[in-house]
Amino acid sequence: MLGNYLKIAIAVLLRRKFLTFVNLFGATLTLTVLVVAYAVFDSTVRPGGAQHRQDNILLVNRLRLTNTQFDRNWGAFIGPAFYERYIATLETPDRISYMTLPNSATSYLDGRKLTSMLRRTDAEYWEILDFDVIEGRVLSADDVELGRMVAVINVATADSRFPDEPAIGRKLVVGRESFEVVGVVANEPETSRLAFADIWVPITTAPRRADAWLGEGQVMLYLEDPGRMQLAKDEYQTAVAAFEPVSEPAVFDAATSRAWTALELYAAQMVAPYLEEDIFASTDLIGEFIAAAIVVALLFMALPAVNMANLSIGRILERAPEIGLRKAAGASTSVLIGQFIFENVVLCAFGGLLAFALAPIVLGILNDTVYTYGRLSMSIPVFAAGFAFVVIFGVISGAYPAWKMARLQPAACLRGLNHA
Amino acid sequence: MLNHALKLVWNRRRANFLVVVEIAAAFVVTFVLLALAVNLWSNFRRPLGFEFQNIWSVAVSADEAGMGSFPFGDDEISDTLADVTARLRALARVQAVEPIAMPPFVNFVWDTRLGADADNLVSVNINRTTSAGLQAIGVSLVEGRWFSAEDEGQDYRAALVNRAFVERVFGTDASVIGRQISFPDPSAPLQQVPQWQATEAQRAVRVIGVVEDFRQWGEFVETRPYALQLHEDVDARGASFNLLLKVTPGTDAGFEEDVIAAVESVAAGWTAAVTPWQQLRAQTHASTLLPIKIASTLAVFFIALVVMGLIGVLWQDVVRRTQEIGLRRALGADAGTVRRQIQLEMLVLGLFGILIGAAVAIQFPLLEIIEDVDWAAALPALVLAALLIVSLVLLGAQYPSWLASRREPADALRYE
Repeated sequence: MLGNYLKIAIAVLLRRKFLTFVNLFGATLTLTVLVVAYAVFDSTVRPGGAQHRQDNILLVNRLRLTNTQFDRNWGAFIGPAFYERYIATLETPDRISYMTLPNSATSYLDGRKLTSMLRRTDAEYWEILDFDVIEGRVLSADDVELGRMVAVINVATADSRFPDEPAIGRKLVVGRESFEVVGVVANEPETSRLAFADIWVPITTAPRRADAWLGEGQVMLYLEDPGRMQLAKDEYQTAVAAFEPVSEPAVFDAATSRAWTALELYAAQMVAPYLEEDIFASTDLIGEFIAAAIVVALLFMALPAVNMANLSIGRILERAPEIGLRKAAGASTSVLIGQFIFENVVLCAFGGLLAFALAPIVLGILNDTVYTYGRLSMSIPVFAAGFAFVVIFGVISGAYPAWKMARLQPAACLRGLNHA
Repeated sequence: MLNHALKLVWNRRRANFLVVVEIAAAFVVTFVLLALAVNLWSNFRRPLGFEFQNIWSVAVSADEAGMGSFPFGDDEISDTLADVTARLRALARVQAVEPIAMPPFVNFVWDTRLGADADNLVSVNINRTTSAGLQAIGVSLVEGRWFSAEDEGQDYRAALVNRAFVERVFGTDASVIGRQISFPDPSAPLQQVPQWQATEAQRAVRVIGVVEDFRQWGEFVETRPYALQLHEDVDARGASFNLLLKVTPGTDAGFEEDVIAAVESVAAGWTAAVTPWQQLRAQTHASTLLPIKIASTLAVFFIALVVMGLIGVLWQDVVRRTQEIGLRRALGADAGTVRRQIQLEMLVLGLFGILIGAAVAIQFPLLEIIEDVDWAAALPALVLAALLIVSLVLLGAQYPSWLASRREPADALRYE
């Protein structure tokens, strides 16, 4: 039965090649854009590579300190004093890492201006993230403890700084500082927010102001058992709530900060500004984010779906005699509708196949132009999302024509009077 | 003829409904993109208010790892900053070195509420620099005077405002020079903050002049009410500072290294980063234009899709109406008349679509759904979008109407 349907579907599609082309063009365009958008989203919340244990990691990357008396707020990243007192002491996480965001650092080499992203990390950072070490080693606990001037660099930096010789043991000048290269790791894309950098050095190489409550640091909490995430979040909230007023350098008496999963952080960043939600305090915006994403995707599909429906209605009316005949011969409306929806899904599936072929090309272009060390690619979740898009698009674009088809009068059809 | 087309379209309204919806949707998409484009273009054409060639941004940080960059420092830091400035001024290719709280083309935002009186405050963007700084970057004064030595350490803080500020806060007729625009509350409990901060909080802001403009975020961002305050010694606290450097024309990137070396020679443990304003501008332009480029590429594909879809629908329509067309030909209508009929019908459909689309599109400016757009651009965008859609609809009608006109009356009548 399905085989026959497929034969009929292909025969119908081949009968009007221009219309089929227009439909395929629309379906392919829409599905390609949706698949690419999903791949970009996926690469942020499930970055893979060094961050393949993302599901075990909570991130603390914002801190707001408040003076409740004057109603004044200072928002920034995590300072060393806050880290030592309120985060390093947490008991639920199995590992805790403190590192800076990647900062741009400029060096001048033979008149060339080189800009690299420099991240200062502790030793735990290298335990939680699983970098692909190409040469040498990563930073050790000793390096960090003793504040050794050593650096791990990525392949891109090794290629640009030391093009012809091994990088290990070479002197690397970054700004005013100079480090000995001890390791080379694979490039990590900028979509991997925790792993991305060009150069990694021990956090202790910076004379840090241990008394700073706000700073440029962020913290990873690592849990062997992802089931304990909520426990860790709750423990952190308790710690933050117990913030004791400090009077240096200014008066703070309350802190607001959250431990986020990658998806929570992404969702909050996307929707909080529109909902006027407090980005420091809210973590549970995932529902709102998904709702917003569905609305945007549906709106995006609307125009090509209407286009496709228009052409489908034309096609149905063209086949009215066939439909009338089958109705007159006793075929139930639901069978006819099923056949039509099937044809529509076949068309969308072809569009989906083309989209799966085109999306990697678009992702490749984005990798080369938009994202530093971009690694966007088609993964199983992206394919799965793509199939979901195909089905949704097929149903949206097929529903209205199918309804019209069900209302065709067999007698009128046979007579050739189709006033749709 | 038009009446006739209207009647035909109306009689087939159920069949035409979805086509009208499609045209309306295409119209809305086109309108939104054109409104953005018109908005960007009108922003781009307005004067920037300052020059960016041969101006470099020097970001100086007293806290080298950036781990404790907290906005409070001490007197020692401001002394060192003075040494840094003096050392940079001594460099051969440097024409001016002045402090600026925030360099342009960077995503720094500092806003506060200022106004003509305490009950009518509006959100105003602030920056701080000196007269010499403003003159070095070619800001032009249209009224009042520049900052002068008499403004330092007064119980007020001197400010130069832009025209948009004057219009927004005072309207067009009032004289603004000497007006107070901030209203500190003398009863605010400030005993717990450092003395200099308490003093600062009690200083009112006073307008001493009007400048043409200073569009901090570059040409693509709309003009906002803006107040340039005098940068005073008391502001040289904190862990990081921005300087603007005017260099002689033709100075290349190699000189950046000399600037950094000069900073480090007088300020041990400090770091400096040098970026030409031109480069900052290029970066901000690239990031503004990227989403626009992606959206327009997609829009072009979608519009092409709509045109092809219309051709397809109309073609099927013409095939289905073979008898009707044949009858008209048999009764003496020539090919041109049939062709015009199909085109006119399509035009009527297009106008219906545009009407519905416009009813939807006009909601955006009314509801201010997309906030960052100045909807003054809405009307030209509406007209442009309507023209574009009408021409696309007519383009889509070309082939099917030609097809219809080629129907032989005999063939058509034999159809049954």
